[in-house]
Amino acid sequence: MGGEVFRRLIFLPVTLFFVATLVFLALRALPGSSIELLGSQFTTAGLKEQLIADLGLDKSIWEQYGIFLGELVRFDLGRSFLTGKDVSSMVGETLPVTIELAVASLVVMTIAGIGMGLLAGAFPGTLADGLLRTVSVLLFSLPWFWFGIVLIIVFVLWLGWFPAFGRLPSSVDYEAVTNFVLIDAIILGRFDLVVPWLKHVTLPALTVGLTTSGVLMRLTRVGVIETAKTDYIRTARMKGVPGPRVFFRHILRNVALGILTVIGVQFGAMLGGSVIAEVVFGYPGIGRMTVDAVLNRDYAVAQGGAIVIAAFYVLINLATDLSYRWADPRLRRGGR
Amino acid sequence: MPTTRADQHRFRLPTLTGALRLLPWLVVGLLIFAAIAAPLIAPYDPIKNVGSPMLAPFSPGHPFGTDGFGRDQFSRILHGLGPMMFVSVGAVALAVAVGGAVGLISGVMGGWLDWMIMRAVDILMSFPLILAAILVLVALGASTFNLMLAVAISQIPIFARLTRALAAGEVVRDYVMAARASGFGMLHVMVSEVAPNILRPLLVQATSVVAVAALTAAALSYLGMGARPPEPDLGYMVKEGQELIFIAPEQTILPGLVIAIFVLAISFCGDQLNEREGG
Repeated sequence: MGGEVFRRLIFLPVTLFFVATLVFLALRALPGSSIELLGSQFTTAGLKEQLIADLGLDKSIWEQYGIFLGELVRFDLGRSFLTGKDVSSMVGETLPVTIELAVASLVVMTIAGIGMGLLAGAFPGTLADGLLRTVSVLLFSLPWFWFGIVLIIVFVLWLGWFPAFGRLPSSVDYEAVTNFVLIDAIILGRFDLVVPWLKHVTLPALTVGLTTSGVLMRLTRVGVIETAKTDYIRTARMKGVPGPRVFFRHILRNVALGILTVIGVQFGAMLGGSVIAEVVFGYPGIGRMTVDAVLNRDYAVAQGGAIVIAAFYVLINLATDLSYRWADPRLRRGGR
Repeated sequence: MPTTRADQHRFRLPTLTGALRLLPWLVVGLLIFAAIAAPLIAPYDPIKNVGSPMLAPFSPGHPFGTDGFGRDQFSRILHGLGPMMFVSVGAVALAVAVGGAVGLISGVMGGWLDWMIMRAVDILMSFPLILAAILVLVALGASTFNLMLAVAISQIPIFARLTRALAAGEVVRDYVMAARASGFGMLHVMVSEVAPNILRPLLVQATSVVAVAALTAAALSYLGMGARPPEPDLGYMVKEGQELIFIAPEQTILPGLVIAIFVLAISFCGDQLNEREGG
């Protein structure tokens, strides 16, 4: 096992290097656009040239690449062309917001997916089973962004239960420490933050969580059905173990591992999903920051955001893989 | 308790029975027909103000009302179907062709080439799909054709990996061994021996991926990275409608509903093919 883990860890910086290079090249394939966008605001010719020099855009692409990599290894992501803000600190503000949303979505996905899967798996072939499977397919087939908008229409416009926009109401004054609302609420003793935050996070989390719950639902369902057919379950039943106990103690435990893996893999997918949910709900996370920067051709912010999202994604996938090996001893021995 | 054969398979949709099995094919057929015939059946020009008030409600003249620019929404949706199908089907076709070729080479040749290709695939797959597509669109500029390319590129590694796995499974079979022992070159083995035997599962898989491609493309359009306005594009129409949800929520609901119906129908069709394949 040690060898495999080592190999994956060695591969990590290589992957990140390629990711950074791809991001750098993609953003520079259309040269000068950012300056033209900015330049249209300046009428004096000298100002535009000075700006180009300040941003280092007059240098050759190789020089720019060298500077970019040099800064990257020092965790310096540069400054926003448009606002002059330090990209690293922008990432520091927006990444926790996205992680919060991804975790909240994961909670929704887990509850909905496992709940529907257990129910359908416990009664396969029945009307309830068919109904639940249809729901899971429906949820999967809905465009995420559109589902989010439908939730806004129903729960914000018609019922008025939740706010539609942002992460906290502007009336709340919040001095961030870690930028994680729940952690800050504990550190600062500001428990009044929790309810407004929950209200804001509910709809985006439902959007991402429900649309991704189908995979987990189907896996749980199949797991329950397959496990119920095994010899040891038949033995348990023949011994006279009561039905519910067989279900929860014997079947559920054996299905749990497969479920855990899927949850891990889906957590990575949540990051992609939250990009869209953040745009729909005006949620100030790193996905929305990156998309806005791309649309404005704010190179430094876009590449910083893209690299951080990709790096985070790679790390999560690695962690999932390792925890799977840890949880399943058979893989530990075989994975040498 | 009786469980059908279908229950035992993963990722199986609810099994449709009888006439219901024809429904998704009919829906897809109808949508394709509507997309092709759009210029003939659409009552108005999709990008021109039709002279009616903005955000007109549903009426016989405007079955889906008019949008925020006074354009006939029914005509816009009809004209938006074609680009959606072109992007999703085109992207998957391209991804199958390129990813399939790369995966075939990787699986049949093996060795260091295989290792290199698979590591490259690993790196491409370490990107969240949507981010990879966004970067491609940034590099190429936003347009319907580039949207197709972007979605294709984000799917290539998936098909490369799948084809490699299928090809590697075939290479060790007797018939491939026999071909190689008879002195046929690697190219012959790839194209004439292995490829025909992995084509069917690959195409069946591709059908299901069309649904994913359509959703990805719609999301990118929504983010403003697909067709340039005023071209009718279903994803972008949802975006435009979202700004008006307080006044006319139907303008954002309808185009999204059409995307959802297309994706759902394609998923069910793909599943029926899967079933016949015995997958």
